[in-house]
Amino acid sequence: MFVVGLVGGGLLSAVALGLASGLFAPVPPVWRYGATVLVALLGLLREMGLAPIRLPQNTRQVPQDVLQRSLVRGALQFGFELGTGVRTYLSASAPYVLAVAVLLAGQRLHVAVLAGLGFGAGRAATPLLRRASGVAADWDTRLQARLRGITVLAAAAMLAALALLTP
Amino acid sequence: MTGVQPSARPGRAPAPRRWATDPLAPVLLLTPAAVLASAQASALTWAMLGGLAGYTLSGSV
Repeated sequence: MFVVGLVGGGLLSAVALGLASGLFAPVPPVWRYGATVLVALLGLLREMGLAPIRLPQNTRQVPQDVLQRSLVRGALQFGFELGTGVRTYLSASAPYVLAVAVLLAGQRLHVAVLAGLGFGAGRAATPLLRRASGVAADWDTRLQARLRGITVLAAAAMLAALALLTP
Repeated sequence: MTGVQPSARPGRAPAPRRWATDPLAPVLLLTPAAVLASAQASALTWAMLGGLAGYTLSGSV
């Protein structure tokens, strides 16, 4: 249920952005493309520590008691809140870049749906991989050691991919 | 004979499992896939970018 919640939350946020993207339809595609690539570049520079940009985030965690009331509903709610990307901490730049890209370039709803499903699946990969590793403590240690590499590499990939998606 | 595999140390999974579940693995898979998909203007690019964005929040709860 946790994974279902993660994917559902990601889908909801992305579809909301996809619907809002219609507001930017009058802006020439070249400008929207340029703005998307610029934001992706800023995201990469931020992850590399070269652009100290403070990004808005909801500085809260999902309360632990949601799991105590009902395990199934709690797991669903926990996952959903994390999956939306707006209810808890956001430590990396890539989700912001994705949101801007969907908002500016996502005039087709299937783009938003795919981005949302991917986002939820990406969030779900963490607990699934951790469980599959068999030794959670060791996996946590390795994650801490690789987290900076993960965020920098992902930001670079987003910049390259969005730059290649010419209007 | 202790029955312990040579590659397994206390508190660590055997090496093949450790590599397959390495925290960096999803990014190493999705990065070239996203770039290749975008070069072909595939709509799947968006799913891969979403996956990358979601996975970067691994340290956040």
